[in-house]
Amino acid sequence: MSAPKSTVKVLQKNGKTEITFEENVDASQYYIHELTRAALRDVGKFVKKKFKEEYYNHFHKRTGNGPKAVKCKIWASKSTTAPRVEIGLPGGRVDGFYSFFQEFGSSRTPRLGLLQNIVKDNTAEIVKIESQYLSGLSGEASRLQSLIHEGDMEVEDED
Amino acid sequence: MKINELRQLVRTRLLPLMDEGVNEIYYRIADEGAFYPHIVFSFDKITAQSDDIARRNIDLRVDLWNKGTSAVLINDLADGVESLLDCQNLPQTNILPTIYFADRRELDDEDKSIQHIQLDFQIQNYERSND
Repeated sequence: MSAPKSTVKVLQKNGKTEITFEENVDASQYYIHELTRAALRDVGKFVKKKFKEEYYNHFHKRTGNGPKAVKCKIWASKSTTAPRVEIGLPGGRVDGFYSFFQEFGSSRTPRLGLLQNIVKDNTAEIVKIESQYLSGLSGEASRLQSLIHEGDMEVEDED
Repeated sequence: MKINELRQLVRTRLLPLMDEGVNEIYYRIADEGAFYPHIVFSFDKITAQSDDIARRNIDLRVDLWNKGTSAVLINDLADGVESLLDCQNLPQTNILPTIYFADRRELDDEDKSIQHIQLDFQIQNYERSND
C-alpha cells in the first residue's frame, strides 16, 4: 500500500508559514514504514516553506530562485530499513546556487546559516508534524512544547 | 567574561598550527587582505541543556581557508584542528569546557582558487561556582 495522504497542510499567508492539521491518519491501515515516509515528506515540505519565508525576510525578491536551491529527498525504498529525509543545499549548478554560499559562507559572502537555524529552532514543530502519523511521538511533541512554554513563563516572572 | 575566556582557550589550543603553516588565527572575522592559510573560529549559538540547568551547549565553528590548487596542506590542517580540539576536557579558572567534534565539510567557494573546510564542534560548558 502507498503512503497515507497528507493531513498536514503547510501554507504561506502574508509571508508567514502556517500549519493546519486536518484529520487523524488511520494508522492501523498502514505499515510503519509508510507512515514514517509520509511524516518525513511533510517535514520536508514544512522546512522548505519555512526556508522560503526566512529567506525573504533577509532579501528582497528578485528572481525567486534563491529558496529553490533547497532540495529534499526521502530515502524510503524497499532496501531502506528506516526511512530518512535529506534536506540541504547541494551547491553546484542549481537554481539559486548563491543560497549555498549564503548558508555556509564564502570568501565574498557572509554566512547566514538560515537552514540550520530553521531546523534547530523548529524541532518541536517538526516532531508535532511527525506525531500526526506516528502516535509514539505525540508525547514527545507535547513535552517539547511544554519545555518551550515553561521557558517563556520564567522570563515573564523575572520582569 | 565566560566567552572571552573560552575564546582565549580555543585560540591558545590552535596556536601549535602556526608552526605548521597557518598565518593567523582570527575570531569571527578575518582582517581584510589576510594572508592564506588562515583560521577563523566563532561561537555560533549558546543553548541551555534541558535536563541540566548548569550546562551550556556552545556551538564552535572553525573555518580553514587556503589559496592554491593542492588540497594537502588544508586537509592536514583540518586534521590538526580535529585532533587538537576533539574530546578535550580543558578546565580553566572560571570555566569547565569539554569539546566534542560534530561535523566536517569541504565547501566550494565563489573564487575557485580558494579552498574552504568547515569544522563544527560542540562545547559542553559549566561555570565554576564561587561558593
